[in-house]
Amino acid sequence: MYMVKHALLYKEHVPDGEAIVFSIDIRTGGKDYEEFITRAKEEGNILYIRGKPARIIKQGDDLVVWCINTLTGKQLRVKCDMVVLSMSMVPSSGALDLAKALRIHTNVHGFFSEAHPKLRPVESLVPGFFLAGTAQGPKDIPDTVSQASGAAAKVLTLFSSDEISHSPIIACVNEDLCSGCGICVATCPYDAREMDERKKIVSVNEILCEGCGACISACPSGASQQKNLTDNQIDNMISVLLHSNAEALERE
Amino acid sequence: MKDKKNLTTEINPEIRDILIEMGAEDIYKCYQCGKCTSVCPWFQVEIYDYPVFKFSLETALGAVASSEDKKELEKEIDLIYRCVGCEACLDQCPHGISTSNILRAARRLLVDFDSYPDTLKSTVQKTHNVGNPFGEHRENRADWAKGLNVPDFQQGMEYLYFPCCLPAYETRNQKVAQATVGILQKCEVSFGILGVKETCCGEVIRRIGAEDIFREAAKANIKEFNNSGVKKVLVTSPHCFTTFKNEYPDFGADFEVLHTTQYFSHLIDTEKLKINKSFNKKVVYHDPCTLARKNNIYEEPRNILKGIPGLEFLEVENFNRNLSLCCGAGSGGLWLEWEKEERIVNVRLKQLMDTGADIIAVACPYCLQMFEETLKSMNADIKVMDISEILYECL
Repeated sequence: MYMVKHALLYKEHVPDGEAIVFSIDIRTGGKDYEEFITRAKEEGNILYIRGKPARIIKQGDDLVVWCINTLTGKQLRVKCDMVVLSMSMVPSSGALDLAKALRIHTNVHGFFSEAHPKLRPVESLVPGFFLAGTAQGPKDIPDTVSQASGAAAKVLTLFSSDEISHSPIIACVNEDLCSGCGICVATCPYDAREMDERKKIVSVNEILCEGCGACISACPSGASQQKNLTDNQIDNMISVLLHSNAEALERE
Repeated sequence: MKDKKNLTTEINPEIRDILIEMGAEDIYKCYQCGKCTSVCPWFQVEIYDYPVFKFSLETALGAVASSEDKKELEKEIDLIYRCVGCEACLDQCPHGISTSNILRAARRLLVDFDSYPDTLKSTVQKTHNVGNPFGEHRENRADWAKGLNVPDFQQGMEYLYFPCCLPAYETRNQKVAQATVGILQKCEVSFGILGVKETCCGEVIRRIGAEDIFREAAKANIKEFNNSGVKKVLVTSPHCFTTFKNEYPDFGADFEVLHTTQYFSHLIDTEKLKINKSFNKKVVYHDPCTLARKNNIYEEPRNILKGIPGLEFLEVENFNRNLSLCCGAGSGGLWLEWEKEERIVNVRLKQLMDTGADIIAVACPYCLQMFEETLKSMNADIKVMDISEILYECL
């Protein structure tokens, strides 16, 4: 897509130059973009050839692009002064280290992942971190601006009240049961757990804990529990549910 | 596609399904970028358009050799048999599609219907009948080794030397086999040949599309090898090499295969082979497709040549290593005749001669044969030699 813009810019600066774009499938993602490409082809006089160049060979001072026009099946050897490679966008080289330091999730391509693609598109899974622009994925300027505005609004919401509310379901440790094995410290994705080296007991930082429950399933002795959602409570809920269902069935 | 009736005959899902079963399973991966077409050796023949990128799409429609017009059909068959199987397209394809495999499926279909070029028919027949594609007598197979004291292979010998059919029968190529044997004897390698018991590896007939006859030949060869107790095979031809190494295991083969350049390079590295004389010539190396692109053997031949004192090693500009251009002899091309202006070999020879070399070094009997034949008709001051021959001269 940006290739079209570059080609048009080139034509603006060098009106008697010739711009040729080799492509196989052009996809435009956005309002009025299709018209933009049509304008480039028609008004900008940019030649679009369907076919991927196979080789670029140096012949004297010229570069020769070998290609086939897959629509006509004709061989092409295009002499040109300069070849510009239209590369795809990749995450910046330090992005992965940053993601590791902030514990933000990344997708298969190394871009930062949002908490939810539709409902929480500007937030990361780590509270307090918001995403904007190409950190999240390849984006053009309008998309980046709108996402950044959204992220800024989210930050303002955070600062608008004197207190920050937090979900009451967080982890706690039963000190009598904890054996100090430290498995939960390594498991916690939010760094919310700390080992008391003297007492050999783990404590929970209640501000950092997000109540994800990773430590609860990791704890071998059952010392880690979620407040208001202990194993005991869940067991009881299930048995009440089964019991009432059985009664209802009997009545029928 | 003049009327509707014609259109419906051209889209034939039945043929598509048969072709997919015959080895064209890659067709749906193609996204029509056309890269294959511009790296195809036929792209270098400027007067001829070879539409490589169309084959996967046409196969997906089942529109292979589907025309009812006889002339059109002949044209289509000609297209299918133009592929030299060099796999330059596979090397460059972003999705790893082997167009030569797709075309091989189409060829299998044509062979089943017995509608493939007559010269290739006789090649297949001869291989079937006498075990070599030239129709030479079986009992003459070991003639090249006469007076060289080459032992027959026996249990306990380390290597079986397997010359291709070309070095076994063709006079120019016999020198390659003789040179190879000379080097092996000089290094006191324990080796033997099968002699008259040898049969063609079947690479050519498989590429032509005669799959059944190939399987028969492969099974017979494997049986012969197993009976003789062969564990390691040394081959001159990259075509035998790739067939033994990559295709025979499907039929139960279990032996190690080495190309002569690999083995000689090893012998030089371990100092068993000492180069005594110098070779004061400019040598350009032509990468055989089957050795280079298909089996990734680039360094060994180069190491041998660069290790020879006095030898000035040259590379072809823009067309070396994996971008090397085919000589045009692969996949039955050796037996097919094309118009003089349409031959790939002429383009390749021009590239090789433009380097200013005195000698073209090859590592494949097919390339050697193709270049020699073409040079005869050219008034050129350049010689073709196999790497084994160059090495043998320097001992």
